Amino acid sequence: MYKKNIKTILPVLLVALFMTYSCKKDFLETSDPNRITEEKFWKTESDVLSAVASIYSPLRQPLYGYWGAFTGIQNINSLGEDVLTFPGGEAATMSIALFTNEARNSDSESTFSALYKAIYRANQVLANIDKVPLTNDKKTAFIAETKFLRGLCYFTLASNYGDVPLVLATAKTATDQFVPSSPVNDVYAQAILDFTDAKNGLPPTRLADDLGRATSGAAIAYMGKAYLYIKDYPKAEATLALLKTSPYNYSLTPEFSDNFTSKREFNEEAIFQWVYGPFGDQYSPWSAESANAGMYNYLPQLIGSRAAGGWFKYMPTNYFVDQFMAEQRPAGSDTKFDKRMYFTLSWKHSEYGETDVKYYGGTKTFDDLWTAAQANISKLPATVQPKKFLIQKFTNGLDNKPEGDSYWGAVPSTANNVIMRYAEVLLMHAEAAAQNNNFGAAIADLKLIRDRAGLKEKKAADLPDLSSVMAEINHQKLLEMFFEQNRWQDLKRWYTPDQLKAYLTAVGKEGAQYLRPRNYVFPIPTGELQTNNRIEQNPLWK
Amino acid sequence: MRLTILILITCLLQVSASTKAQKISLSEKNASLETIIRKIRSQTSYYFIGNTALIRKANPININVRDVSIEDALNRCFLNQPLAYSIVDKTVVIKTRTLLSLSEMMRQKLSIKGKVTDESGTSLPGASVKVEVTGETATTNTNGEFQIEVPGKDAVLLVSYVGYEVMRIKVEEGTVMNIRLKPQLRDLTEVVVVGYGTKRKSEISSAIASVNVNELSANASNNVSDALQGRVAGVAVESNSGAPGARASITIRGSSTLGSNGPLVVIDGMPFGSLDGLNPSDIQNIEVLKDAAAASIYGSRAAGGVILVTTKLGKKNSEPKIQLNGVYSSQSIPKRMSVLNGEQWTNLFNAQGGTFPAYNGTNTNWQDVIFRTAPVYKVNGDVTGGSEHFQYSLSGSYLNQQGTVEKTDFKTANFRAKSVYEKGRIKIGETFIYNRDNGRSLPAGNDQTHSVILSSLVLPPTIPVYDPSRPLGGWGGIVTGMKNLSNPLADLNAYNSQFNNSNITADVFAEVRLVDQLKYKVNAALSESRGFNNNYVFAYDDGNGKLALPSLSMGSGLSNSWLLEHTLNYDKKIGLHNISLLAGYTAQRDTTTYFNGNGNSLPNGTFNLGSATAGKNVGGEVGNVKRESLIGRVSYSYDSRYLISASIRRDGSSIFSSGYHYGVFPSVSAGWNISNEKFYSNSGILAFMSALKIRGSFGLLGNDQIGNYSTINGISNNLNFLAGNRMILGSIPSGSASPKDLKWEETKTVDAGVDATFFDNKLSLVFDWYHKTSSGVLLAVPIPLSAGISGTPTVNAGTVSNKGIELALDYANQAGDFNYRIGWNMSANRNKMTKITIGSGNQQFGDIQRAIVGSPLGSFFLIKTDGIFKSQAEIDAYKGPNGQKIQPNAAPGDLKFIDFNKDGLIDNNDQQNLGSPIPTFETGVSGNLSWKNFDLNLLVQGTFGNKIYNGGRYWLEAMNAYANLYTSVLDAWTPQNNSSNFPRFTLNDPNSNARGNSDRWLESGAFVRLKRIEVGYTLDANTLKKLNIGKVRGYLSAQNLFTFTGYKGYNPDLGNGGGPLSRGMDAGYYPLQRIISLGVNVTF
Repeated sequence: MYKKNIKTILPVLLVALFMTYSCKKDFLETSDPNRITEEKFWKTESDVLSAVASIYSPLRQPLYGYWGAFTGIQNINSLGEDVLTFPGGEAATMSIALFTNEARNSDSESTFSALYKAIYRANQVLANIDKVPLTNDKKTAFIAETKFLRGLCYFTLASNYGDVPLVLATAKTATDQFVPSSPVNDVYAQAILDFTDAKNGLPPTRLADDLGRATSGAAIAYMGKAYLYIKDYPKAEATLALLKTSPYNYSLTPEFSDNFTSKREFNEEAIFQWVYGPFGDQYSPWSAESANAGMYNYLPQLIGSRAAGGWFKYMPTNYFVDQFMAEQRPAGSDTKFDKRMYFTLSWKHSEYGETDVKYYGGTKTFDDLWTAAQANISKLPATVQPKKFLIQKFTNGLDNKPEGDSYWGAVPSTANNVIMRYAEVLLMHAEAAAQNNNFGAAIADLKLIRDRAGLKEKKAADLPDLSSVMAEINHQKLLEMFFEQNRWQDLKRWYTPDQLKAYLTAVGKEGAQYLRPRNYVFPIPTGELQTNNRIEQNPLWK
Repeated sequence: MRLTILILITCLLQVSASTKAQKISLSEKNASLETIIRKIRSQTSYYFIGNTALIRKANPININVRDVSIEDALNRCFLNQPLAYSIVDKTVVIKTRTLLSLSEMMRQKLSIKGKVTDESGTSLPGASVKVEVTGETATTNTNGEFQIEVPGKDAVLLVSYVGYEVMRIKVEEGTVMNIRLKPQLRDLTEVVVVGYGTKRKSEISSAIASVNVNELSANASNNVSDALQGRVAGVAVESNSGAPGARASITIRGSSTLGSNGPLVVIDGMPFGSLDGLNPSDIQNIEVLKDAAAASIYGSRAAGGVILVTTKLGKKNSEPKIQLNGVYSSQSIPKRMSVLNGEQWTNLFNAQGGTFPAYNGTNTNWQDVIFRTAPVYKVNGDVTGGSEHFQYSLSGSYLNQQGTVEKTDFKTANFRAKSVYEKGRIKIGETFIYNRDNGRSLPAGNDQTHSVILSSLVLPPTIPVYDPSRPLGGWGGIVTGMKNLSNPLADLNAYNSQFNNSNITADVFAEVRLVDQLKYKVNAALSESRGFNNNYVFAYDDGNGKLALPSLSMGSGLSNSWLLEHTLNYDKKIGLHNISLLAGYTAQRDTTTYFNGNGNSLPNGTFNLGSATAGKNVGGEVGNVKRESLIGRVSYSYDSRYLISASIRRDGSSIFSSGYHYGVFPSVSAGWNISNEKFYSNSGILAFMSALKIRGSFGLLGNDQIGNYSTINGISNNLNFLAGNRMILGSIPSGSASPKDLKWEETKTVDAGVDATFFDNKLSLVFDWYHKTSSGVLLAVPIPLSAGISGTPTVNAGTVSNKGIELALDYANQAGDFNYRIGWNMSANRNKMTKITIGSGNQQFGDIQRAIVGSPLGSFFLIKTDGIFKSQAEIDAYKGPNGQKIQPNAAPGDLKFIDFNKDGLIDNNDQQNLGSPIPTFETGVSGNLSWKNFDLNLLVQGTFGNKIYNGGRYWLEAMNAYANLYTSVLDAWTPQNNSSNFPRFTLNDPNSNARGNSDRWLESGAFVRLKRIEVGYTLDANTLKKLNIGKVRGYLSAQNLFTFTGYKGYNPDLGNGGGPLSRGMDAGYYPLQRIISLGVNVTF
């Protein structure tokens, strides 16, 4: 009996033991072996530097997917202008260009998203920088650089979207992530506040290794631009004037084209630019923010001629061409038209009494380019049939490469994209000064612009009142800043929606009939409306 | 190593067939039959089946025997009883005795000899042969032979064998009777595999469906999931694609989470199985555990239900049986889209501002260029057998499937070994499955927006396939002015994406009977998968994309899992009480490692990453998940009338943070076999309804199927920036981690069911009603864009409910040589997101497909269209609340959109719920018929109530780009063609007729399909006997022969491999093929 009990109990005990042994306490504990975790970050100066670099990243992305080519912050503003015709737009692009866009437009949504990505990263730096042992100087400079970038994001949001959420801290709880829109004036005010802190903490110049990172000059220029946009002309004039004095040595480059090619990067005119260079795989621009992503400038691919492998998405409008033709250079000059026109556009010079030039390393005549463009041009409605002019600015047409604008070409462009240059500062300063009745200062600024273009000086007698000064600023800015993301913002500032509709109709802008007041801003994107239950659509879009 | 030895033993062990009868000793006076049965039960492993009321009719028994066979003992007991018995395998069935006339009793006895075989002529040892009038029984020997005394030449024998129909046959004098049994249509004593054990079907109180393996057409099926489609009520099987080797997605009782909804597949006790690596012919049986009570014993990963697969094993005491099967199939894609031909295309677009060269006769049918008729070769074979103590099976298969799209193919080979050794208290066994596959997959489309399939539709027909004047391969390509479109054949040739995977799963168990019926079992399983892919891109120019020099990306991964289970099982019968207890501990660890390398600009003719001259980079990922659980189950039944079962499982998962590892998941189920009640058998209803059981269950299940390390906030890298002449590497915490308090998602299931059989078991019915509620659903929550976080943290965010009914009817009968069986199953399911528990609760997930409170997951939210404007007056009259024109940009011929929110504007706020991609009703009708040597098997499958977004039609009817279009656009509205309801042709499209978020692209996904029809012919056994062949069956099988549907894409079943929010989205997948197969099956 006893023996039988033992026989029973023993195996049961054995099993019980066996079952408990494997229940080790830490069996389920785990850590991520794939990446550094947050706990290990925010320890050294290089962590802060890499975090600040991550703020630049979404802003500078040249291409984010195929569609992103158009959504780049730098390009989207050009879409609603009176100076561009669109022979090869994709649906999302075209609807913005023709004022038929909606909240679910993927272009405006991805721009919105990229800006807030940068803001989130900036807020993280500001919230965590105290954890890192740094000298006070370095810390101040990092904070100023971060605030400059955040200010740039809010400035871009305010000028493009109007009322948007103002996110100034990292979310502590899930609920913190739902932020309602603030009025557009508050958004501008925040941008100016950030630019002010940036101006005080940033160096005026950068060492060779850091060229391209924000400077106090960039902060001042954008602060002045923000004041101009909110029509605070006295502050705009005073702020922009700072850039004309020490410690700043900005001036116009002798050659207009130096601002757009890789020959003289970081020159005396460049105030802020997105830097592009021969890094990463040239064939992987699509997957920005991944290892080996191409860091080249792909803008030429978008604009360039079909004959040189470009996608040919833009053309100048007849109105724009007429503006260039309106004023010829004085007799005896080396060119017939404005010097800037020869870099901005390509056309058959012989039809206008000059010697023809060849493009793309001497391999293409203008006729070649024009023939290649026909298939796209023929799609345009009869109302916008263009004159025989093509865009040359931002392409590689005058470089020495046959397939210069081809994605599959030898080496893509490494030209920086200068998004704030001294010429713009001069034109903004001129506008602010004129509005403050300081016509003399405005005319002095305009002289610098006109001189470089090879145009005859306009004196006070030629520009006697505000409307004539503003008309000249309008005209010069149109020519000088073509395709530099200012035109649409200027038109919005200078015209009411009704006036603008009448004006765009008069100049033959495609889609002018669809313009409504709401087109002055982009709608809050669907992706935001559906996820943020505290936000409401912009009143213009309701 | 040990495993290898075991397999070798399996192969080498000689099969000896020695039957050792169990001896019985009884000494009883005036005992009831119940007492006798109990005594016999305690001495043997025989089971008894019989109506309690019937057994109580027995006269008192006096008996005194020592060491006699069970037949001898029972013969004495049943002498002079109103009852008779028969032995079927190890089960004694007690029945009313048919009374005999005295004259019959007086006849002279004859000795009859015979042989019992199965339907294929293989001998059946251990079959029971009974003389009807006397109750005299005999059992066949190892050769299936028997000898028995009968009262006269008119005597009738009843021959039975488990799994076969009882055959009633008149004796033949003076010859060896050849008795061939037919497989049983419905086995009442069927044993069902449940989690960690088996149960008799009659004792089951939860919702478990058994799949009739005989119906599966396993030999003609290329994979198991395909064979399951339409067979089981409540089990939705959707083909994801027609690509060779493509798997189907299986959803049991609707999607309950936004993540992975697939069921847990347990093959021979290994819970990391996948139906993919399994050869359909290897399956012995499949059970689907549908409700929580049944599945909860598998706890953590059973929220999507459990599919239990038991692979074949030889029968005890049977000679080696070899089965060989060979099939040749021809596949084709029956449907072709009607696209514009070269002439139509040129004329249409040149009229719309195109400047394309005049039509020159080039008229490429790109669908015919990429689609082909492709063969499938499949062979498989197995050998099974067993002795008294050892059972085994070995099988192998090879499948070579060419794709119906050029260049795609799939090959797989499979080897399986399984054996069980049982002697005394010990039982050990193992299953070993090796599977390897390789092939070439369909490349993604090469123009950013179209799949290769869509490329074949949108590429204009005026492009020639080949153009020798073009560089890098001489492929025809688009001409200037056309949209960026790729030559699909160039892509199929240039992109060589090879995969090569192998997988070993092995399971070893040992079971010891400790005392009485207490059994301890240890089960160890291992799975190891190796994958390798090699994506080589040859230099090419397809007119859109161009690659001057080849590029290469290679990746390799290793994943392995081990599982250890200890279980204690205790079964006890005390009188009419039947108790079964289970306790166990399981631990599992899954480890994965993956790395890849890429390189560009390889010199032509080199295929090695080392030769890449640019763009070299590497990546990789490692991870492991650990889970452990304690399990317990109590089952109790009384007299086979009242059944109750309860289980509890405590699961721990490393997916969750410390403090949130564990979840406890209980379940309970109960059943009542009404037909076993006395009042039932007395009521006379028996003649109509032979059996009736009602059952109900409640249970909780957990789900942890989310990405590993979700709660750990990692650093995002490569957020780079250039300054000066250097690159500053950017990194920052990603911010997309889930909160630390993330916990188990819980699914609560209530189930009520009825099982009944009618008309002498000819008709069976299984009905279930269920309500499944998942709470704390693990959702990848889209964060507002303004939060700036890339990625979507997973949180416990909502509640999803699935309510439904399932019904399965099955009728089997025979008439002379004609045997038939017709099965019908249906399931109706209502899926609904019932609550969002984060934010304000009105969050929505997705855009045109949403998870939103009150609607099924993935419901389509689109702007409704209302025909087209026929005149400017109609446009002007369509006004909003403030009198403004709702569609100011419209022109006659444009679509009219419904201003759903009545704000006078058409925008995304007008998207309204226009249906769901989830079918509301699914059904299948199967039929098996046999007549003499012919058999016919067919399956019709139907799906109703679901919607499909036809993404392909979007591209081919949008008419806003210079690409090819469906011929339907020729009917576009024009002032002349004013009655058309097809929008006008406009490239600029100011009215957004081509907007993606309108119901213009939404279609009904309902379909009825003749899924399979198979005709077989079995050669006459007598002919084969001379050749010493057991059975030869030839068959002709057709899959996807006809589909009746209004859907305008290639095929309406798209699968939901991408998850519930992308279900029903047709982005131009690999179309399903029609397959015609010719096969032969030989058994020795």
